[in-house]
Amino acid sequence: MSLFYLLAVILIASAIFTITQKSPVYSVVGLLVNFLALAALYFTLNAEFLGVIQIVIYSGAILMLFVFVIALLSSGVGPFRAGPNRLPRIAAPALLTTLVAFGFLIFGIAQRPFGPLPPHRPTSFLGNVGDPNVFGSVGDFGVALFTVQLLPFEVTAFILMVAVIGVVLIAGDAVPQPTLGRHRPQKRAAEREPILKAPAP
Amino acid sequence: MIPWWAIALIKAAVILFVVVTTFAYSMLFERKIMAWMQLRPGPNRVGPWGMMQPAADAAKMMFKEDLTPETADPLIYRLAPFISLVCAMGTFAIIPFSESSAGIWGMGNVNAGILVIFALTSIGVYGISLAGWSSGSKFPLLGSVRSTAQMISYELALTMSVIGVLILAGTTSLVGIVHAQRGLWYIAPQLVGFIIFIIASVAETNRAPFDLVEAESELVGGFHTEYSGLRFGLFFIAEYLNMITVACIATLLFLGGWNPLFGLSIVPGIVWFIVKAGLFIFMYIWLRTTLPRLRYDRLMNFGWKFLLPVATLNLMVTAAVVAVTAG
Amino acid sequence: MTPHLIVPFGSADWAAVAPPTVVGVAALVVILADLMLPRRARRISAIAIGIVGLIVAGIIALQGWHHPYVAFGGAFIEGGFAIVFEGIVIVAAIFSLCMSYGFARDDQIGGAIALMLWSATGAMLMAGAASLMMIFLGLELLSLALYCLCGLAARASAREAALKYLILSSTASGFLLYGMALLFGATGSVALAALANPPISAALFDIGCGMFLVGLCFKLSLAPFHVWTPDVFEGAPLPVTAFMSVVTKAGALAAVARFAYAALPQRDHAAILIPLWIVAAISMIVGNVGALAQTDIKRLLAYSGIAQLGYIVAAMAGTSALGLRYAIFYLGAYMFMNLGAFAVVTLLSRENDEGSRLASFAGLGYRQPVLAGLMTFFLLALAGLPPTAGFIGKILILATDVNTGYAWLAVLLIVGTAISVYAYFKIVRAMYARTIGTPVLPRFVPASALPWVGVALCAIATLGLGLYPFAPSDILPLVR
Repeated sequence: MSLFYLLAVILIASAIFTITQKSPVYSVVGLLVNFLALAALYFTLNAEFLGVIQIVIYSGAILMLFVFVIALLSSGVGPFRAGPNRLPRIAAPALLTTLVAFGFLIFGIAQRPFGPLPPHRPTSFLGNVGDPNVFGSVGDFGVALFTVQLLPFEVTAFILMVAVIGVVLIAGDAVPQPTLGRHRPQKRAAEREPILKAPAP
Repeated sequence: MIPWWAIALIKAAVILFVVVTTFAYSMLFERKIMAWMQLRPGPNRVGPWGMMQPAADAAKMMFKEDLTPETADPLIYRLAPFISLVCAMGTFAIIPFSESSAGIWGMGNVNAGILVIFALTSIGVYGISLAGWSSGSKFPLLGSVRSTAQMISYELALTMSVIGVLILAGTTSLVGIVHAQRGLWYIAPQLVGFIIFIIASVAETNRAPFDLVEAESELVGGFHTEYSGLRFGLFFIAEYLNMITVACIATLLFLGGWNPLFGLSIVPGIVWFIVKAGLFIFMYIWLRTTLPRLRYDRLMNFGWKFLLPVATLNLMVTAAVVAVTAG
Repeated sequence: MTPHLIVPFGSADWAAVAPPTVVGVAALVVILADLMLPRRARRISAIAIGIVGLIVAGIIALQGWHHPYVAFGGAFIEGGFAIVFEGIVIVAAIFSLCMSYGFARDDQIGGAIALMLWSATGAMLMAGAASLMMIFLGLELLSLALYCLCGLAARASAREAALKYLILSSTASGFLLYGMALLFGATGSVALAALANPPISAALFDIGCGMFLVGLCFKLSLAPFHVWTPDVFEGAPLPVTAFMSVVTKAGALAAVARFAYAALPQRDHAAILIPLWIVAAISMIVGNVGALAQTDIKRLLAYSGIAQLGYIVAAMAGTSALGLRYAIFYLGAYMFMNLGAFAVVTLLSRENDEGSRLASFAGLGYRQPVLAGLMTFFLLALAGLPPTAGFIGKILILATDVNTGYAWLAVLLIVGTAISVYAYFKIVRAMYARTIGTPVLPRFVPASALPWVGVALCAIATLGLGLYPFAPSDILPLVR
């Protein structure tokens, strides 16, 4: 239980760190810590497969892409230029709403903290939840994905395909021709429409 | 009776020591072999046959000045080498060099072993990309952007080729995979997967002919251009350790781990393991001396348009065969 | 210890998801055809394949009318309720395809049509979704395709729209997911049917419901979660705007209706849903007042949509059986009058000008009397004047609100309608007013005749539904 609280504190602290940093790369580092702490939480629940996948997919692939994009967009280590700060105007109502929602949440959790799960809880497919190497193992996941959760699984795959095609459609404004050794990257860059327009002098 | 944690600590210390020594001598090994292949003597000044060369190099690294460029982001710049090294060393906590019940050589058996290794290596990429970004100059940035793209691309093919083995073995535990290879090593039924794994792992470890990340003719030194002294050394160690890790994984997944050849079970398993892993390390060095560096767009095309489809096909065929034969 | 793996689903399960599957596959066929056909044939073939696929999906869906089936262990329910919403999505998608002839560049048209079909697939999945997970996945499929579609037009405002939609919609999805997580925590299941069980913690359950509804209200663009709507509607390409204005709403409305009617336990039904009715009431006023100031017809229709959705949700107040029927009727009516108006705008649009500015309508009554007459008819319907479907729909909603004891909603509805008449008549006046000095307007050459078909069908349907109000009566038991 103390491990849970330690990880929870790390999770929340890193999340706050992520959203308060001016430099995007620091945010990414905060988010990385956040993901790793979350994976550790999964490990404490015996869901080792989920924990590992959390690291491989979220930290290893998705967040990596963030770093990639940030590195491409802001060469140089300075923070992004901040726009006008609109926060003061809505600070009070936002704070109020947050506190009320937070209060409700704490109230709700405090009603019966960590009580027993209801009788119709989802059980593991390979055996009893309490046994080692059953709940959260690769086999358990696989069976769940391909039996009871088959439709959500298929639809998720479909969503990913749609996302890929959509991105290609938006980004692929010019089909790159095979260069056959005559590589003129400068020319193609110049032909492309600039993403950021320079202000007129 | 020695408490379990003391045993664990001692084992960890021994492994680290062995691994770092292995790193040092595999570096010398590489330089010597490259020299022989290129018909030159190689390092031969420090000690007999240059045997003390690694120690000399280490001393040189340690006493060099540790520079931080003015444009760099100091915190992340200092942090990045450690991320790389910790992840590279962390994998050795999971790699079983020998049977887990084999007394003093016994290693832990992690259930999701191979997945944990993937997780650690995927975190290791942050070391490179953060180093490139935080250096605040263009060559490291280009190097790290290249490396990110390259590693993400080839990680897919690598994982796909490994899943074929996992399907055959029916487990993700590295020990379990080795046990499943008592009869037939997986290099035979998974030859395509093995070749894909070798190619993708060369790209994953940023070694020639896929060392676009630090192509010195165009990027000076890639992501570690600005690093010097000990911090550069850390990257250097991490890179070599990654190569050793990949050699170990290839041994475990495809060459039967510590299973003996020709039924020679008199020779301890760990010796077999080291010999097989050494073969892979030699092969990586051989590749480096033989093949020229690829161009970046061809690297990407090859990864996405050839390697990934072939790996997917291999996976599908494997799954189909297993499904049919398992009834 | 390898478990014996038996997939516990049969052909009936796959048959239940056949309509969305057919639409999704049709989109793939569109992309493949786009690769093979010559450039000239691409547009018409993409639209034709899309329409054929949608019609086939509709026919398949109708087969299941009398055979409700709970598929995939309760993840998807095919039956009257789902089929009605699937039908609305299909019809709306067909009309949007009719408007898409001049949409996007030649090399993008296939992908654009495919994305539109995939978006419709998502909405159809939402129509039958009976677990929190399926609702979320359907919504994501629907939205993801729309983000891309919004950004397709090569102008800054379209990119702005896509980005705004993406960021705000993701925030809403975050709310939705958080609410779902709390609901799961409170009941231990993602199935909507399990929500009726006594929760571990009532407060968690209530907060979960609240966040879930906030997420859906955003997708329904109900005030005060509506701020994104006008900007996104204005920036997105015209056919996409038309599509979005109906299909997103239909999908999200199906989820809200299933949640409100079938999932919630009876004991604290009213308390949980009261905020929803309040939101509907605010939307009726905000939407109509906002419409007053608009000079761009896409923005005007965006605000109009906010108000109309307010009416539709208000119809469900008290969750009476008739209320759901009338809500569906009004959704159908809204689809026809709204898409009709959009089709008219499509006919007016040409390269570099979407014809959505108020100025494009100046003197239209003299240049194109038929078109102007039809536009006037659609605007009258949106305002809720007889003899149109909008009029009948509003009367029915008023009746059900008064009957279920939500008279205050009825009063607000009348006030909102009164305000809206002024907003819509601004366009009518522009079309028929004698302006001083003739504005320089391009000649009337529509890109294709297809939108004419859309306009005509919409007009007939709007009139027909106004004269003979029809809504399927036996769907409530099928909500589950």
